[in-house]
Amino acid sequence: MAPNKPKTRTWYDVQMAIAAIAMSITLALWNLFAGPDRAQAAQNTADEALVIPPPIPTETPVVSPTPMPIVKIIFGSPGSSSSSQQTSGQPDVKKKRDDVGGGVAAAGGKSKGGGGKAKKGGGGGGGSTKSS
Amino acid sequence: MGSDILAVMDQDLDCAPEALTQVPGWFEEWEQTLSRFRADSELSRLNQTFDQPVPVSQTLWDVFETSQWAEAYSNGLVTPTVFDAMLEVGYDRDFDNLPRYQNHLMMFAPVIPQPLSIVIADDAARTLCLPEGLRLDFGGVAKGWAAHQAMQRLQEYGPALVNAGGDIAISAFADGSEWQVGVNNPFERGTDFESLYIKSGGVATSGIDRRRWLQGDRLRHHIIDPRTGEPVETNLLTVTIVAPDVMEAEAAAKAVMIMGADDGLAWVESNPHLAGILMVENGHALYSKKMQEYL
Repeated sequence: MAPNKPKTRTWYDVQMAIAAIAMSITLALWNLFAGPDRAQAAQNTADEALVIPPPIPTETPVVSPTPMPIVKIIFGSPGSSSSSQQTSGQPDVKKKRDDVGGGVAAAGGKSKGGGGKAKKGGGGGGGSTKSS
Repeated sequence: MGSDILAVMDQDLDCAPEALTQVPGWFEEWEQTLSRFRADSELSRLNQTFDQPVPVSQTLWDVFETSQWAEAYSNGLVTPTVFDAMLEVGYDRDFDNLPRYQNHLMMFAPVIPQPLSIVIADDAARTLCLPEGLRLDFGGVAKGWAAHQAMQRLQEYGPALVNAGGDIAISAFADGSEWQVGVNNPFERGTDFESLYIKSGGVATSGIDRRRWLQGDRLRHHIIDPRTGEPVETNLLTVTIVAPDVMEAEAAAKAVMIMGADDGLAWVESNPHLAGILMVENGHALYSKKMQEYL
């Protein structure tokens, strides 16, 4: 029927016009609010490019035990169940050995897992024991 | 072994210098047999062969037997099967070359060491058969053994003391004189906080004050607790043991480190032939009763 065709076509045109207007408004508002953020983002990128991250440490000194005075607790001392002495340095040397005939000969070195280091002992002593 | 070696003899002897010149050669030979850090060592070759008997030298066999003894003596706390646990915590090379800071990005998976009994040892054929994936690191046992061997060889010429990285083997003077041995202060490197006077036997110190590094954000050290596969969590910094021989001193020192101050001191006291100084991390040095004989 001839009168329907013009109404359908007109309503279609209206729908298209509304859609176009809505999209335009959306885009316009998007640019309106995104503009400042875009500028800030660009600025942030520029700032980050200027900051050089610190290098990952490859050799970091390991913390050694905190220095502190040593308190000796000797169990089974005569007259008491324990006794304590405080020392922060070398104790007095009680040389019991009869030092007859002079000193000692020594040879030293480093077993090879790494480098080498000659180490010579002095007279009378036998070196020290330490954790290794 | 990555340690300083010192051999001392009484210079009254005319032959002392010649005997001492042999010491470096001995240690080089033992290093070439026992080091896990040398790719061409006998131990490294053994650690690459699984599920088949491998003939081994007398040296490696002797150290293996010493390790068996040490494991039984310490109720499993001292064992050479910690090789892979060591690698997992980052101890994969000689300590002098070990980075003190290691990036560790992967998940840490502790490796629980297996008992040494799973190694098939044939005494008659002198062969060892490692099961798939098991590798050995003799560690301090080898060091103590080497010090003991060197002392015994030098002893043929006269009284001798051999110090291998803090494991000290001592032979006696005929007149009963004593050797003076310093005990290193872990809070002040290069100084001693105690002197011991010892006629013969062995002295050894185990500790976590020196061989330590960072793996990621975790502080690591080289004494593995076989019960966990991780560096032992202990309140002890160092343990010094005097024993009838240096191999027992070495095994005892490490075992006590793993036990901790209370259990460790009790264990030392329960073994009347041992004397110990246990340095707690708070600066308290606990002396066992027998240690007074050496002060």
